[in-house]
Amino acid sequence: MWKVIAKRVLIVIPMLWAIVTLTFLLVQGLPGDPGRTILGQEATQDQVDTLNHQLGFDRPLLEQYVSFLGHLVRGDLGTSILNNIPVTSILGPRVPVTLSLALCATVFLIVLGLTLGTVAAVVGGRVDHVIRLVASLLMSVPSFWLGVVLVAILSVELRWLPATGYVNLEVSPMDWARYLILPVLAIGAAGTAAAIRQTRAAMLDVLQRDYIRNLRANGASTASIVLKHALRNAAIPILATVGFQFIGILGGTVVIETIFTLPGVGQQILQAVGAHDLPVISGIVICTTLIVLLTNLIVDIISVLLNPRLRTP
Amino acid sequence: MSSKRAALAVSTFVTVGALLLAGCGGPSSTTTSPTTPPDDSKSSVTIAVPQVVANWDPYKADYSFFMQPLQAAYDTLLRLQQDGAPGPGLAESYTWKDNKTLVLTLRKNVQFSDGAALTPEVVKQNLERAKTVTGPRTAEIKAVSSIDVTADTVTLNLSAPDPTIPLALTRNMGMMVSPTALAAPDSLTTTPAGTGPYTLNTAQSLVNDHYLFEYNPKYWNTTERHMGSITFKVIVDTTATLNAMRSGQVDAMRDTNAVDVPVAKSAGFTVIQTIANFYGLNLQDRGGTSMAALGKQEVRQALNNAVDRKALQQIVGDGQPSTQPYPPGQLGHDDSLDNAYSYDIAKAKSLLASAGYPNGITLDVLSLSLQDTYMQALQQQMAPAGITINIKDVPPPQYIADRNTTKTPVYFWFNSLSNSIADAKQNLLPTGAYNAFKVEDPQITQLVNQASSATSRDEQDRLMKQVSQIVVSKAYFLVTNFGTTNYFVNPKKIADMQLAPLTAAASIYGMHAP
Repeated sequence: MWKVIAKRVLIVIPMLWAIVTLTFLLVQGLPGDPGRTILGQEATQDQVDTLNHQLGFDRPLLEQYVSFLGHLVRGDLGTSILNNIPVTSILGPRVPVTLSLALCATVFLIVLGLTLGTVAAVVGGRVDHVIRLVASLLMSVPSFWLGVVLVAILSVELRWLPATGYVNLEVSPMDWARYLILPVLAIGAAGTAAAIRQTRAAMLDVLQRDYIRNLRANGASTASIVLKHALRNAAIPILATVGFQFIGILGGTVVIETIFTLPGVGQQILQAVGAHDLPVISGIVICTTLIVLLTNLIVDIISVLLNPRLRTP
Repeated sequence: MSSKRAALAVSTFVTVGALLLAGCGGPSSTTTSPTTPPDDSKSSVTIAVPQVVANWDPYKADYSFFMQPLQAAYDTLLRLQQDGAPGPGLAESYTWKDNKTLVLTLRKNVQFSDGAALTPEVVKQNLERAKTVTGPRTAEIKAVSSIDVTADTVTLNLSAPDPTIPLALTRNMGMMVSPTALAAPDSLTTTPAGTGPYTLNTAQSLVNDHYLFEYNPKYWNTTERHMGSITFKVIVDTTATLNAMRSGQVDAMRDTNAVDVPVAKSAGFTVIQTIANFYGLNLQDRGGTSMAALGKQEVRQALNNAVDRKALQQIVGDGQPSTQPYPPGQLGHDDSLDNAYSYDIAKAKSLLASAGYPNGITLDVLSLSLQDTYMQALQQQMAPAGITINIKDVPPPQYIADRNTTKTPVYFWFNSLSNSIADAKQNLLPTGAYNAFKVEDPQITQLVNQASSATSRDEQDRLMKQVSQIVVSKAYFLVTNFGTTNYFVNPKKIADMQLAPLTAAASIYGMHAP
């Protein structure tokens, strides 16, 4: 098992290098002039050229790339071109916000997805039809639309929940939760639908197995069969879906953080891209890549723990 | 006298005496009780802004919607008044000795937030920085060649006449930074150092999210009303901002979407507006360098006749249709030019034919997807005249990079208005940033230079009206509509928030709780 884990960990380095290089090239290809973007239209061309020179944008591409990689290898994410403060200072307060949103949405989809998927598989009939209909609806609704509708009804009209903003967990857990309810609902809806469907399918498959019939014949209760036996064996594909949805949620934070004005990484990257702020962009890409790779690693480890057949490489 | 009678007499006397004393203490026609000045220290508001400056050095920042956080921290040498003219600020007064010498008389006993004193030397040190700092607005005072100071005056000596200098001193160039911060400019990355009414609480702020400003107890203007604190909340998306305002999280916001104005009004917000921009097309290649048709006056006039400005106003929102570039109340506005071109397709066709284009012309217009509604309406209106508009939508950074280059003969033009003379220099003179093909009309160049040299506003207006007449008659631009800046204010939280002409957001100076 440790060999499997070690292999997964080692693969992170070349993957990270590939993604960072791709990011560098994509940023270079962005339309517009960084100096002009920062100084605005009123600045003279001489001023723009001076700033581009100060920021190193007029150096050869290879030189810029080598310098960029050199800083990264030393653990130096650099300084924001726009704000002139360390990238770590910008990202430090923002990563927990995005992680809060993504993790809460994932917990939401696990709880609701597993529960409704299991109920649909076990109860069947009309209940199954209704749950599948709900899942289809949730899946077809775009998260940004759902977010806007939730705000219009629950914040603007009813004033039950705030429309925008975020409160740190350590400042007030109650407010932290209040401010996250709507964004979590908006971003977690589609993932919940996927979890419902995957759980239902996996449970239906497992519940038809011979050993489940034997357990019933031996008098085991439905609760015991479902919770102790069936769910555990259905867990691997569900786990893969949850991991996949978490990564999807992470990508969706850009839109949701904009709608709800959450001071997370997703909102920050929009501004960084607009300003050609390469250090911030690459910092965010590295953070996000590490989170994704870590997520995959955790999913793999749990899968290995659940299924002994996976322990041999 | 019996004891009972004595008691009655005493009690009567005491009662009457008490009543008399009470009467004396009340208001009368000759005495008034002192009024208690309002306590502004406890009020707090949240103002939404789409962005905040990346750097608190005002010389490195832009203006427009950055102005409010900058105003909180920094006073300006001159302050823009409600009629659009520069008035007293940190300088009590200003005068033109001649058209190249501007004298500012500095206010006394003004302190920076770090305790340093504002002196004429400090003003000189600040203004001279414009030569060495690279910033979006530093070119606004490039005409200042040298600065002389006395005990209480600062004299700006210009290399050439420039009547827009006082206006520049109401914005970034007029924002004075503490000498202590100037000696350590890196400190301005995170913390402003001005003489403004508020100071930034960095501990309770989060970069690019929210900034808490608290009232500055050392502020020199003790008679001006203020708030106890202002939080500037960064919200990029206008819909999210309006939702935040409707749900009570935000108390003031700027909104460029005309459709939101009725929503704001129905929510009980005060809507303040000023004409701040115009919509149209910049016929940048009016010399016909890359597109020969645009070099012909009849073609440009045909474009102006092929537009239904009233219909376009429905898209633009509040404001008014226009055929001229300078709005009412500003230099160069000429009422007789308001309807210089009527919507007349037949006339447009005839003009095109007389210019040698009986089958019409095709225009590739650089634009932004955000403006598709306007551009598509323009496209439909012009089609019957034989004018085909190809809309070339590009992302905003590319639009900014490409629009004022010789790759772009025509582009969608949302022009934020400024002083008319400054606008003319940018748009019409061969050295202007928005005149990539360097087209020159010698008569206009002469008039604009004369207006620059004039020190009387009436004379400037007379000269700029002539510029307007030439621009309109020769159809150098296609201006279709003036649009307004809309500013929404919650009247239950904010009073006396003013929106000066041609500004992108309401001023925070003097606003207070109701």
